[in-house]
Amino acid sequence: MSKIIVNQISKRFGKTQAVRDISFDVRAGEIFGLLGPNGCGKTTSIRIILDIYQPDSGFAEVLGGPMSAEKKAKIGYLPEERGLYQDVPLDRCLTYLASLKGMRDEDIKAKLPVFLEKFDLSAHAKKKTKELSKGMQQKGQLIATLMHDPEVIIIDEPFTALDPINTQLVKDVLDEERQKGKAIIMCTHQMSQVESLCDRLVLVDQGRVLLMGGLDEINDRFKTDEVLVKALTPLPSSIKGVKDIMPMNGNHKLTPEEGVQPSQLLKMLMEQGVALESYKVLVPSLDEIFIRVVEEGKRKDE
Amino acid sequence: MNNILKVAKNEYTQHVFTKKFWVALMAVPLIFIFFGAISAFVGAKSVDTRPIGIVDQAGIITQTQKLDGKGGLFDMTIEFQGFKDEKAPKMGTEAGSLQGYVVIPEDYAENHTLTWYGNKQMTPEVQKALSGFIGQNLMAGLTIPNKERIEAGSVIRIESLDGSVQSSGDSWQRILIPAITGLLYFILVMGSGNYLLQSLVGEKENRTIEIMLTSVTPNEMMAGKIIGNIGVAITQLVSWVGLILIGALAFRSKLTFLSAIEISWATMGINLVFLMVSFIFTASLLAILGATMTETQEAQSVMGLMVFPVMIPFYFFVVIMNAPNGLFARVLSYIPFSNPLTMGLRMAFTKVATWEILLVLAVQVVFAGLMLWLAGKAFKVGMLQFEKKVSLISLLKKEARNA
Repeated sequence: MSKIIVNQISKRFGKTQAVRDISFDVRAGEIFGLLGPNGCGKTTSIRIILDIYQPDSGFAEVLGGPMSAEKKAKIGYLPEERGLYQDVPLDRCLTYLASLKGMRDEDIKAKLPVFLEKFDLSAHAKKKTKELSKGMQQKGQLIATLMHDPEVIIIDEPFTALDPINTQLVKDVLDEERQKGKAIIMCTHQMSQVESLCDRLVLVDQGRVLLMGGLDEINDRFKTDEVLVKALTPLPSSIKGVKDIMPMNGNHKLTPEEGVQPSQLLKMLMEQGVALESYKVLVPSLDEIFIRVVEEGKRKDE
Repeated sequence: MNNILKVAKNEYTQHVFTKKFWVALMAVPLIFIFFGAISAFVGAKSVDTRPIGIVDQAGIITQTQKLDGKGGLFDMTIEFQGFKDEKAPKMGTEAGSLQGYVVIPEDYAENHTLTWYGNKQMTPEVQKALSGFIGQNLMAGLTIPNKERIEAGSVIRIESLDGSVQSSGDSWQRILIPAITGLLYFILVMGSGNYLLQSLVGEKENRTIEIMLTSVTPNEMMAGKIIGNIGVAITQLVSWVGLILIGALAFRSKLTFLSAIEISWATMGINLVFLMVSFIFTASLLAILGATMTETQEAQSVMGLMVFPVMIPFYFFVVIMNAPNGLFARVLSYIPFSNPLTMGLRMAFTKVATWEILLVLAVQVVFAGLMLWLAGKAFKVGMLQFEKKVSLISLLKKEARNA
């Protein structure tokens, strides 16, 4: 079941078309990647979903209809522009933000210590926010995003300023939320995190959708038959079934001839007596797919 | 608790439950007391209270001097000492035990001329004390009808032609309520309005605004902030008034003039309504300005500029008092910045028609409502512009496009 439906939304600011005909949906129990270069329209799309901006055309539905005051309390949002009240103690700041999400005082008193403990912030609860490191503030903001147990979570660059240990902590928390059936939109430039966390994604550039689908589906769509081999002996200059051989960091990238599958190529190499230490079918990384799709989009525009 | 009250409560506690607030709060009366005490001390020291010699050659001094004074805070009593001839007072003046002496010549009844001998000019305090003392002695023994009444002066009762405005006090009593209303408005704008502006720009500077907008509506946030900051201003005022009352109670025997003040609760109520409506207008205007700014320092500069429009009626205080139903005073009544003091003064010095009071109020409500609505709109767009300053015109244009 879709918790968020974005249907053909467009938004223009003066001469800038920030978003044009963007559509996607986010289901319960999935992490959905909203990707794109800076200024591509991600934040505008999110603000339309959150009812901060009105779209010029199209519509966004959250939890089965237009946004309402009740639904706002069921959304957890971590914006790209991080913000906590700097001059107040962390626990007071989080208490206030949780109360605005409709949490009762007794629930806040019960849950806040648990979250502070989970994010390793108990010892810093009484400190003013401005006295905390960026990473700690980021974790504090994640508590504000999650403490009221939202059905929909929208997080923009959740791993910025986090060290590897805290990055893993946040990944685990997001995974937990997914297991609980939450619908999660994650915006990030860190493709490795998208690969390890997202179920589906949409790639946006210049306000329009360039690519959308499940991670496996996208990998399949962009995979090539190229293979990366590490040979035990020097490779011959020409190999039967191989169109091109390119050295790459002590390995070789082999491009098979038309119609030759990677499995066939391995067999052919063995038959030709090429001794191999490793053989790996090259799947383009999401980074590469991202760059390729964005550049193709620009070329089409030109 | 609804969101408006939650925002208001947070706004209030964030300001009031800090040491900084109370230090600033107490600093104002302490500074006043400090400078007042210095001024009083210097004033008291500058008045020469040494005795004055009287050489009465005319034989008119038959009554002893009353030394009880009037009981005012700074009333000084200067004692007159009688001498038979000039020798002793002259020596006393030279030695410094007397500040000087006065000779009442034999022909005083004809010439009405006294002669002051001293090393410095006769001060106004001495002149006043001497006049009273001579007058008292000249009238001694005479049967003058209503003598006490003449000495005490008359109470002048003031009434407008239709009898609607009545006052038996002096002018200063009549301007007291309007002046306090105007002052309250000034304090509200400079204190509470300033906190509001700082708070709104602070939301932007802290980047908390986007989180807030996913929890409350812009209007809820604005209303909460205005209410919270009015609460802050009321706390300030109550604290200051409390201190003034404590001071007044401590010195009540010296502040007898306070009992003469007459207060019309109905007029005060109308003044308060005008005050609150004008403040909502001003606060909303500040919110619109806050939406265009990115740093709290800019907000401080804007508050400096706000002093000018808020002070307008103070500059024209006398003009309004002299022609309360004149065109100028009427125009000022409709301008939200000058409305509280102008209307207060007009109602104190003339009969303002009920229809005009209602019309002025209606115009103020429309202005305030319009500004509040605009503030909510401008705020929604401008508050998410974190990096660059937004011009007011472009902000409103942007909103027009987004609406």
